[in-house]
Amino acid sequence: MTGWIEGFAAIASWSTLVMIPIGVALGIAIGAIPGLTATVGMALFLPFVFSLEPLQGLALLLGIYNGAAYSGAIPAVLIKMPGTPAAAATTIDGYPMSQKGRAGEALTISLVASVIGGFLGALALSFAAPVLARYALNFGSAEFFAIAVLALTVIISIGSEAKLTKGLISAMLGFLIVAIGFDPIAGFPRFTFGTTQLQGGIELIPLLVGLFGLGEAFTQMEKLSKKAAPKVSPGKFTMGRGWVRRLGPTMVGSTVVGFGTGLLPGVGGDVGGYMAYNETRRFAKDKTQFGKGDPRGVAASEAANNASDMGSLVSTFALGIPGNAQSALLLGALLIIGVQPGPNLFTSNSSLVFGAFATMMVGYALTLIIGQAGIRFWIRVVSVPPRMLWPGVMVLSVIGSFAVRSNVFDVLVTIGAGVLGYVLTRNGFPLAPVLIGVIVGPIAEQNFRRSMISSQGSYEWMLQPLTLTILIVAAVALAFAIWARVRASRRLPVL
Amino acid sequence: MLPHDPGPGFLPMLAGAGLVLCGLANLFGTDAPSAAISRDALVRVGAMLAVLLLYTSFVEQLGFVIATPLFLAAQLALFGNRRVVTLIVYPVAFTLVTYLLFRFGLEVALPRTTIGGVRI
Repeated sequence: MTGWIEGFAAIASWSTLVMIPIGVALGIAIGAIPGLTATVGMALFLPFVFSLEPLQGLALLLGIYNGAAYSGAIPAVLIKMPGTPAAAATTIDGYPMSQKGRAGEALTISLVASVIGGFLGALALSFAAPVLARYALNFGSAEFFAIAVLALTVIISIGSEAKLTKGLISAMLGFLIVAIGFDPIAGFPRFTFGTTQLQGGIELIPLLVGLFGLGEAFTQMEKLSKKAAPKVSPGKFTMGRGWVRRLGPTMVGSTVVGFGTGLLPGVGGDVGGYMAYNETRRFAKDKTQFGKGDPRGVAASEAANNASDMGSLVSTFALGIPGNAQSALLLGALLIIGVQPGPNLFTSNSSLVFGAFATMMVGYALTLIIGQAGIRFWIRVVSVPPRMLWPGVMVLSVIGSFAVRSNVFDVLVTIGAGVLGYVLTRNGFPLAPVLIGVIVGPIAEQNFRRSMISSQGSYEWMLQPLTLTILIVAAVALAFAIWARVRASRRLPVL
Repeated sequence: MLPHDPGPGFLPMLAGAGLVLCGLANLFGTDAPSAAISRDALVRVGAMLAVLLLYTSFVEQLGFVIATPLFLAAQLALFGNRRVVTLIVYPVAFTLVTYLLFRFGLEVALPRTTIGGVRI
């Protein structure tokens, strides 16, 4: 209870409060543009976080996180292209609804479901995270190593559709990139080639902004689509009377499913969305309309993906291990402002954490207002011509990375990362594992080495009950992913 | 180095070995080869990269307010924009807004130059 009071008190200043609607509006715009995901959007605004007060910066980033979690549904419904990967399941029934002239209804359902899923999810987060943090105060390096391995395994195997080997390669590239600099335990220089620039390691913001922002800009340049986005007439925006009775149970149930799937480190909103969709369909009495425009499909997917994003934040805040790509970025942001996420955060800096939770509750309330009030504008955002958008993104990427420490080397890092991101994407390598490798790699490495040092060189620490359990779960996740791929089609890539 | 520490080389070796193994494994298994890049697209992407590098080399000499509109106009042209409004008004407006935002809003130092005695 005191946490709540602290949290709301912490955000009760105009300079912080104003960041919430700005973040939400930015997030809605970013999520609505196909090709621009929440991860890229947050990366582009990281340099701003750097210059703001911690809670202000968090409010901005979390606003983007929340806003984009909703607005990915907008192009999903209108043009069958999810604006963010999490909205993938929304296309299944959202687009058919739009084809039947019920786009407005689908968009409103998406908004309400997103807000309900997100708000309830944020509430659950604020209860679950402190509990987990308190429990995790007893965790040692062995447990953290195991959870890091779990996060990596899950994001490679379940969290991405690419071939497993490609996901692994992406992750290992992440490891190598983050290894540049002085090793954290022994202080030994790695991959520095004798230059002072590289001794400091690769700065996170230039890397991320380049990999996700500039990389996507290169991809767009290659595609250079000149097609205009199709015009859509949304029809009415109401959900019809009795929506609470018709869609309420779906929304709440999907929130639970979504939050639960989000809790597992490495599982993102898209998985939650699909699972909730499948469960909703399974329990539905009348299944005939699913896939042809059943509103429950839209409600399920959107409530779940927002709740899942909240679930992912539990391990992010309580353990310091990210639950999805966007929260890996959030972790990076926290590290940049000098906050160390993990169990100790709740004891040492509880006003920051609870302030963040308070931000999100306010944020979701605002999303409902901003999303609905501006819906006609957000629909137009979907049609922003890529050929005008991406040059702007490029400039922001370059200035943003320069702004970190006024060092041109960082801009070169951004350009290099952009080329890397482009090459990886065009050859089917997922980018999220690179990010996870960069953020989680050090956690895994440091805790592994510390465990080895404490146990005098034996591997017995891996056999401790909790550690072993977590590692087994990781192995199971990997096995499941292999099995699922084999089952999907014998002719499609497996390994 | 502390005793029993696997050492700084442990992670790089693991990652390196993993890359080699996965790289080899990747060769097997059926995988749709990625579409070959058309010569046209290659030239465009190359030009985009060249403009980026040129901008990075000259931004400190030319100053942010001069280099950026040029950079933006060049990239917009590469992306296929041909209208005057897009090529001139948008870059200038964008530069102005970001300049104000970064310099006065965030108090970040952007590269400056001196013209006729005035530092901009």
